[in-house]
Amino acid sequence: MEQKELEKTLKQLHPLERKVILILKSAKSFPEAVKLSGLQEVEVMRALEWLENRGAIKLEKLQKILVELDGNGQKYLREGLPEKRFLFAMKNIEGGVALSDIKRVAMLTDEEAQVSLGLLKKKAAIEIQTDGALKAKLTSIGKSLLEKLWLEEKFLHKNFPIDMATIIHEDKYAYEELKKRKNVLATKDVTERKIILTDFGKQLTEQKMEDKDTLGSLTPGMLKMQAWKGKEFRHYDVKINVPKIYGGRRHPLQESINQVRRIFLDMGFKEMEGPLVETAFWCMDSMWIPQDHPARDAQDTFYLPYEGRLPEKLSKKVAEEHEFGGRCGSKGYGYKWSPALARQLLLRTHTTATTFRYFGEKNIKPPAKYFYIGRIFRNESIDATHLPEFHQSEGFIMDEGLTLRDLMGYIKEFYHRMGIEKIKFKPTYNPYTEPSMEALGYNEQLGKWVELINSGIFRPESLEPYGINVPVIAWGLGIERLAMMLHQQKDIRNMLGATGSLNWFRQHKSVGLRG
Amino acid sequence: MVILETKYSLLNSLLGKKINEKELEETLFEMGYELESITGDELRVDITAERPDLLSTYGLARAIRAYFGMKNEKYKLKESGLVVNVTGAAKEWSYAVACVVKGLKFDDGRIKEVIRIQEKLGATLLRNRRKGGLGLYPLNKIKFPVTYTSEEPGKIRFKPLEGQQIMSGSQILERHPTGRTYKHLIENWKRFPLFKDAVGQILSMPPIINSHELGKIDETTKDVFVECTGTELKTINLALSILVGALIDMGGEASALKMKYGAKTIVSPEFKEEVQGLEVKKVNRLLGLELSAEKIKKLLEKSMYEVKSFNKERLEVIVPPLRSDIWHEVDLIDDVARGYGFNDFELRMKSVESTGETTLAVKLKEELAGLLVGLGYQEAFTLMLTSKQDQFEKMKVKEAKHIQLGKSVEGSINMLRCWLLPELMKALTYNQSAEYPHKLFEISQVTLFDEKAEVKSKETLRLAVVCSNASANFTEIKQVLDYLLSVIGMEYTIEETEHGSFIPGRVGRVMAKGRPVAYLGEIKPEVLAAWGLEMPACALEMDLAELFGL
Repeated sequence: MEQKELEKTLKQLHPLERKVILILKSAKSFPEAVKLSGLQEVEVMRALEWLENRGAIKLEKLQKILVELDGNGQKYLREGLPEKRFLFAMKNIEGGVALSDIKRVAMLTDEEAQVSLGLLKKKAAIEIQTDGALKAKLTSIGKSLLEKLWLEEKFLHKNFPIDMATIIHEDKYAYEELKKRKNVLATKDVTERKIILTDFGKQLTEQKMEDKDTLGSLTPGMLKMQAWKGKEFRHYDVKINVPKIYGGRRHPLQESINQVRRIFLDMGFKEMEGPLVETAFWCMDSMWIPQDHPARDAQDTFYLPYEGRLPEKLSKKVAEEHEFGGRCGSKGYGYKWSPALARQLLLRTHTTATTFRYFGEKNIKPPAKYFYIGRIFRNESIDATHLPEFHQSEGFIMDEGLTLRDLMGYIKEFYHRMGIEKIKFKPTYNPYTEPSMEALGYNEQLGKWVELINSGIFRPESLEPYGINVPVIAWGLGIERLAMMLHQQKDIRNMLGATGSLNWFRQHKSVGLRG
Repeated sequence: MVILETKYSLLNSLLGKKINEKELEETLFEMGYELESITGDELRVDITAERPDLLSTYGLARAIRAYFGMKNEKYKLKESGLVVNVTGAAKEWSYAVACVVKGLKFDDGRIKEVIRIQEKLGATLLRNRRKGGLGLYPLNKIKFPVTYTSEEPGKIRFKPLEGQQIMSGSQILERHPTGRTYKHLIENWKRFPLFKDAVGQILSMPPIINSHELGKIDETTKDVFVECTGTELKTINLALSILVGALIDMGGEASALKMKYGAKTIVSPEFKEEVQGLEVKKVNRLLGLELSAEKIKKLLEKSMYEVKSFNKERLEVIVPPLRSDIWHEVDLIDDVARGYGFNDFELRMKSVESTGETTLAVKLKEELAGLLVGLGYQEAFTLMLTSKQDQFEKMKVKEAKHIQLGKSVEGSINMLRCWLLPELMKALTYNQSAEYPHKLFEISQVTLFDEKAEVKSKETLRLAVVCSNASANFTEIKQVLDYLLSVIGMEYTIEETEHGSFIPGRVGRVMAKGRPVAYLGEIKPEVLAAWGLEMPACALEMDLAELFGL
């Protein structure tokens, strides 16, 4: 390592790092470093992490099994092994000694006495006599055992905790024996950090580590006293990882809504607002959706157990369109229109309900451009791709002389403002527009065509009740679909609803639209 | 969208040429349909709902042939002289139409195609048999005249298709698999519809099931009797015509029957060709083109129309008999556009004068959201559909009058939310693994019940704020309130109050313009427990509509 680099690092070293690196010449593990440095654990840990970031050390994780004395182990260390105490109670007594006497003298519990009895018999240290009361008699082996320090005893006197890997030879025997007994030894798995000085680290330790009077944080006090004058500030490692922070943010879905809103406002559209709870009249009948249309099925629509009110004059006109096509040159559906079905309340299934309320209630005159972004509902169960509610956006333009070409042109412009340049059109069917078309956009990132926009020119039957006799072109798009594409989010439950992940909201990428 | 499932090889043979996958995909796209998939010989095409005639491969082939400029033969219909008497029909199911088709060469594939058409029409045009049902029978077993009538369910006795024994009408609804599937359609009727022949044999019990003896076609069947019954003549005639059209294209020879409704006789089926006038001016006005009448004629022919006559200003157009979606000139104009090709139009943007303008509610929301984001609050976006348990029970408040749902497929919801805070509590519950503090807000509508309103409800814009962390307290949330209202310049006072969701003595009611506009305080431990939360929280909910008179 070049001298320059060494000097640079030396300037940056935090006082804690200075202390710690010097003791690393001898300390090879975290506990050792703590012991030798006399610092607190967290201080040593921070210093080690910083040093590792500088490439001065390597921290290796070592999986270890540590052996410790358990409750009985500690007790035996203090009081001696129960079997040894058993033997001592018999010392210098020839002939059999009653078990109860041994227990009393050696201060053994029943359990300890029983265990000792078994162990000593196994070692042939005692003989059992069973004439009347239970008695034990010391054998010659027993006598010699009394004189010695046993392997088990030696083991208990070790400096715990012990690394399992270091238990070898005769210790192994003692360990196995003690392990068999209740609560004498305990083991636990630990991860130990081993510290390895790198070459760079070794060089660092050889530098002069005089504790120069560098400044840490600049404080108001220092400024007041001008204590900084003539001193050097300790250099920081500017590449260091710092803890993450999060700001408050708008919701990803709201960002997409606002992007769509901005496009409409920029293009000179006025925003509408309308109710979520609607009559079937405004949601369906008003725009010439027949009363037996599959979209009106209870399985798709949330019908509510209430009835709403109908606009009297208007519903007569709408009825005429359904029954015989009014006066616009249409055949009509040829059925008897039912006001009862139209009065049913429901949660609106599309935002066109609000468009038609504006036709019916706001007396809109051409030229006019309006848009709406609102929530709509479908009776569906919740999974990764379905929610019973989501958002739709819709815009319409009402003016003399508008044509299918203009609808296409406006959609092209709209897509352009969403950053999509390649588009194609597909004729389709809607009950209230003719012609109707889908507009697909080519998503360069995904490398595929995505169907985002549905559109059309409102039918004469749907406009006549409102006295509108100029063309009205309209298009709509699903906001969640757009937002999920922009945010590359696959689960709609993250896009809308209380189940959304706060972590994702905090960290999601900005996806501002081009244009 | 409805899927037509068919064989690629069958379509190719009907087109009289092999059409490659790319060409088929592009052609269908231009026509307004979608090639969903080709796997081996299995072909799936997405058809829009207004074109039931394309739910038969034969119908689709005719449409593609026309689009390619190839000629299609007109459907021919002979007179059979046979009679079906319609007498004493069930009042819920009073119409029947029928036809005979002879000289069919059925094989396994064709029988399957016929069953497919029958099922697709039943599911779509006939609305899962709620508007009508189709049936086919081997002609040689039937003695004419046939009668369409009805009978009390208990008195009906015949062996249903694929059934083991003779059953009554009611037993069929209980025991036969098809009977059980469609039971709901007719179970409340006093009399069930029946087809009988001249010697009293039962052909079928529409719209449920055919007789096993008389109503089963197989590869030996050459001649068939086809019928459609239902609630309304126009729709059942169309369904019958589409099926008969396919049988004709299979090589069958169709003959009409006389349906005698008392004194009135109708000839069935009716391949009716209606004439619709079309003004050249209107075509060009809607499409923004300058097409001549002659060009329009050519484009209409691509969609199977015939032009009876035309001059510079006007065309008289014959609508093909299986089209049910032509109500107005604009429907013809749409087909002119399809013929022209939607992707061949030159795009244009007519300038329409209007200035952009948003709503007060949006402006308010944006202003407040900006302030809250500045305070480090994360915006939440929760569902409006929720449950009584979440809105009332868990929040320890009394149930308020609210908008209930009727039937819901999703079990966890049964109402529209009437306040926001419970939904933010739910968001806290789902995000307990995220780093604290959790500072959330939402600005959105809630729906209140309103007996007098046109739609029985009133929406109001609310703001809810919640802060959850180890030290969440009244001060913290009061600071948020003070900040927001002082920036907006709204004067207010706070009163002591009680609220089921907040700790007694630590909840305030905010008064502005003499009205209560908000509650704020520390959330009760019982409420936190109900949400499974182990972190204190303070919160506020403000009615922005009340506050700003929206």
